[in-house]
Amino acid sequence: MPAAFPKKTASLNAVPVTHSEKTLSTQVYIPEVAKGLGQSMKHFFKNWKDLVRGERPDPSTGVLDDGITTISYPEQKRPYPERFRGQHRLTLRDDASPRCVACLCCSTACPAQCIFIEAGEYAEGDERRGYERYPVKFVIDELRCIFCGYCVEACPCDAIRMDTGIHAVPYDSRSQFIYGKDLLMAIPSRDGHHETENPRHEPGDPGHPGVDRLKAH
Amino acid sequence: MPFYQHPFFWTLVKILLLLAFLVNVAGLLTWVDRRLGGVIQDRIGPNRAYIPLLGKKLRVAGLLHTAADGLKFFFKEDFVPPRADKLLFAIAPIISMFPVLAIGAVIPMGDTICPGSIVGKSAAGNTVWPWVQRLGQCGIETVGSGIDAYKLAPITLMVAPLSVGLLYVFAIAGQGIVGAAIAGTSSDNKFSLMGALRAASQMVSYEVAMGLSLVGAMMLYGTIRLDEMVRWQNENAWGVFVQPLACVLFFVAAVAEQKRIPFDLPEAESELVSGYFTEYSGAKFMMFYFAEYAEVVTSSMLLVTIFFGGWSLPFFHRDGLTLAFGDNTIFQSHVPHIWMIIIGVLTFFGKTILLCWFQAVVRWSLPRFRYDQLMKLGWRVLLPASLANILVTGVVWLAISSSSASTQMIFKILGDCTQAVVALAATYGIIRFIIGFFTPSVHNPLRIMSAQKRTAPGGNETLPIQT
Repeated sequence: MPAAFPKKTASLNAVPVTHSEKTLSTQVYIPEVAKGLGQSMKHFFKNWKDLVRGERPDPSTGVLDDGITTISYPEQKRPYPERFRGQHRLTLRDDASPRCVACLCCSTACPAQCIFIEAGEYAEGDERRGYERYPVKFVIDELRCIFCGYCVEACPCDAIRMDTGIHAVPYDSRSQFIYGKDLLMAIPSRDGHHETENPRHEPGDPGHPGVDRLKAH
Repeated sequence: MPFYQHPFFWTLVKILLLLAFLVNVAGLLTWVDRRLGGVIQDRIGPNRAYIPLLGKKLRVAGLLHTAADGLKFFFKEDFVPPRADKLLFAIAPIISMFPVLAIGAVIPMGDTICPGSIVGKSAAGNTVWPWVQRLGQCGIETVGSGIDAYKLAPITLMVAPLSVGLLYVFAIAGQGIVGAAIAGTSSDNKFSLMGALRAASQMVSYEVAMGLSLVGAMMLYGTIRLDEMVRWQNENAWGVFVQPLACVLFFVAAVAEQKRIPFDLPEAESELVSGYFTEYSGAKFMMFYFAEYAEVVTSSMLLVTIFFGGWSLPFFHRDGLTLAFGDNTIFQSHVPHIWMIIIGVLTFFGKTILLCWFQAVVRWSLPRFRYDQLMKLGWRVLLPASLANILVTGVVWLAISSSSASTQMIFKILGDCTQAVVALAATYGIIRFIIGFFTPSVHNPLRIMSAQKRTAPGGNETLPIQT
């Protein structure tokens, strides 16, 4: 006869709940209450002393320390890690034009499809014409962005970065979250500059491979 | 008779003193309760209310939250449910507020003042500050002569020196049920009604244990006047030593009477929104809220008076400091009467504040009882325990009082030893507190920043969180 309720075998993931034993001290209740009160008082005296003497543990390095590790948010902020992915920025060349060559790698890689780029050709006679393009429009919908950082990974020119350290900003209308090219170019990195440390050879520079190759043809 | 020697003037002064203490401490407790809860739970607690002052924010550690709360209550809408009983709904907060303040009337805030003995003149005509006898009444002096003569009566530092003392306390404390019950039934809300039912049944249950737990103390002290009780404790031993069980029982019953955690079933947020005052808002809600904290203060005052020696300090008597064990007087020093009165009043208020603090710690430590556990604790534990306490107290008291003089002297010395224990414990506590305060606290930052970890020679690469 098959059992209607087959006996369950203990699985590795399920840990049986351990109930505390009924000892005399738990049954009388008062010793346990006294222990609990002692614990509360210990915390009270320690934290009160830290508050009065201004010796609270540092909220960033002492997160796991005993005591009050609260961060008073608007005045204090938790330091973001070095590789925190924050607000995007478009890095600039030396002549303050965007490094972006409008290759659409980032918008292709973007899983949220929040990047829109309208590519434009350089004017006739420009050395860069035919070699690279530039973004006429570069729009990021920050509400759609999931801050995965794939655009930064995909960019071959180090033109888009998320090293600004800026947290997502609260606005009151959706249109304000549509960041255009000028705004993205105006945002500095956490160190305060608009360039990147990676070198870039401009067309026309000696040793620039692409343009030399073009001219050789 | 000058106005400052009129009994009516002194009654006014006593009422002002009592109300000033009660209302201020209760008001501060509304902040202390939350701030202390925060500090116990490793949080900061409310500290942000401020007054802009000279371009800076004056915060005073968050004390202004009390004022901010008061302002908020007064400017909130005074909502009355459409189908509520308007009259009962309006007077319920007043009814629940009244007994709390009225209980204070019989609580002695200090020793009896002998107005004739405060300032004296020595034989040379200089002003002296005399001390009064340890036992015995004040002599009633007659001042003036002829038709202007008046008597300087002793001033008891209780608003109403009633001879029924403790009975009055029980009678008035019982009125607390009425306020909660009326508030719940008049609100036209099922949560309120449930809360009121719970409040009524809980308070009735614990009223019994509360009254019976004090019978042993009344038998020992031989009086129901609260100031006489303090005098007995001053001469013999504190109530907490002669009636330890009654002290615990009374404390538990008092917390249950206040409807505070762990006995806050009438206002259990997770079950009944806020119980019998769910529909209340604005100033009416404030009266309930405030009555709860005022009740903390009055119950602390009662505990101090009945079990913790009221205004008395160990070895300090009416005539000054007398360090004595039984008949062996080790040290004696007389202190002027006026100083003894001031020390007594300060001691009483200090002890009350300490107990208020303790009640706040209790509130933040214990989880709420289930309803059946509450009833079980009240009827099956506290009530039999208080009855047993009466029996044992009676037997022991009879045995002691009928024993020989030498045995009684042993108990007298034991009583003095408890005073010494209190004095030593208080001294140790204060010294420990001061030393602890000036010892810098040790912090062990467990999480090292990644940069530090990399640069540290021989740094431990395992994350501390995994240990």
